[in-house]
Amino acid sequence: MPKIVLSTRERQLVALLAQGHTDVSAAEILNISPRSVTNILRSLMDRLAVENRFQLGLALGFLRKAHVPTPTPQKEF
Amino acid sequence: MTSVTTVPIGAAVPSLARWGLSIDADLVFRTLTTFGPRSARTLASELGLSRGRVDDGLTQLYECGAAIPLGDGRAPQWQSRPPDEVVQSLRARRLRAPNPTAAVRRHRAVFDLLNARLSGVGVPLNPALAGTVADGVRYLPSRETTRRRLAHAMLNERHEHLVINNEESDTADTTNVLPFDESRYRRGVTFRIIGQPPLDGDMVQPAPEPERVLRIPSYLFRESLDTPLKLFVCDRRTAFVPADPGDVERGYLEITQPEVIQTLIDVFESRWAYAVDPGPLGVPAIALTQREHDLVNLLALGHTDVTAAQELLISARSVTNTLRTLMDRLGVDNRFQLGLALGAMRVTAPPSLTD
Repeated sequence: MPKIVLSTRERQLVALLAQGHTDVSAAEILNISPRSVTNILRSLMDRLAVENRFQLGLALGFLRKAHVPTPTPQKEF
Repeated sequence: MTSVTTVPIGAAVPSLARWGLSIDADLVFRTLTTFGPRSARTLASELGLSRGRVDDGLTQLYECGAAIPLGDGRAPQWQSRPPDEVVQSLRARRLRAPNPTAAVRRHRAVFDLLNARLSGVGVPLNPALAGTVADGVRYLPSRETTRRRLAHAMLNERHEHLVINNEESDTADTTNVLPFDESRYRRGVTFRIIGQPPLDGDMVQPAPEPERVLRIPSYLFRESLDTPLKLFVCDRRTAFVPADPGDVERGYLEITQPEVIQTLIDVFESRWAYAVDPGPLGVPAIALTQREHDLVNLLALGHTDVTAAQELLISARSVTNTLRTLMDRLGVDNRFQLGLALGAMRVTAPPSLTD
């Protein structure tokens, strides 16, 4: 299993996406461009040897690099 | 007397339970937001909840800054903060950047709460002199003394040992304080420990806790992001908390004052109720249907919706619907989050990780 260390930036980005942020809203919070978000994720995907966001999520979840939002029975109202 | 209560219409308040607060805390928060400040007693009678549950809820709201007591009498009126601010700060709390300042603030909040609840007892922070500093409170000025006192308390334990471990950095540190001696675990004492989930770092796997390695059956571990202070409670008789929230090297307070201990136990129990047992999975498991399993495995291999549909001899629309249902059940909104949840549940992993 590959050992992977996330940089602070990557960790922040992954945490935001894990909360349901879009690339654009995450970029705003981190004060970077949406293009940088894409690049950060692209490099992560390369390092984990995956092709898409679903696989990226799987890999990060599997490696316990991020926490999924707690499932709640009711939706927001 | 008849009175007509009109419910003020305001912005919708999302459920605070989404960010780890209890449903009681959420209900209390809604009540305060909708009807304005009231006392714990009024809340209990209006909501038909026991006073204990209302207090628990208020404790949680207080610690995350969602509600503040007005005045400092024994029965304060509680006021809620604006929901959007509360949600924002709760959201921020889920971000996992280590934050020592926040840890110190949370620790102080617990001490403030102790002092607010127990007027007259007074739990001092940062005492200067070793020895008895208040009724039932002793200051142990170094880690070494603390270790000895804790070991002594644990030797006499018969029933229960509670721990909140709020250390965000490396876990090696904890073993310095906890006397991890196998012989201490043979007494049938139930251990309940709340710790932080593994931080992002160079750890591929969470560091195994000593208790887990020893396979002690009476040992229960849960993970929570909400660990307000470091705490040991032995048999509900003796409690240890760091004297200086910012620096464990400054030693601990050894507390035997029953009311203070009860409040600390409340703090523990309110976290315990909503902490997650990481088990082998990390997230609460849900059962996947055979089709969901097949589909998820194909997507993990890198299939697109369309090629996965062909493989399974179903329509692309069924693929979308199957995933939609699964996402609803897991409470996530997009494919990335779906991946995270399934990965953490060890349902499957990309081939690059399992070779």
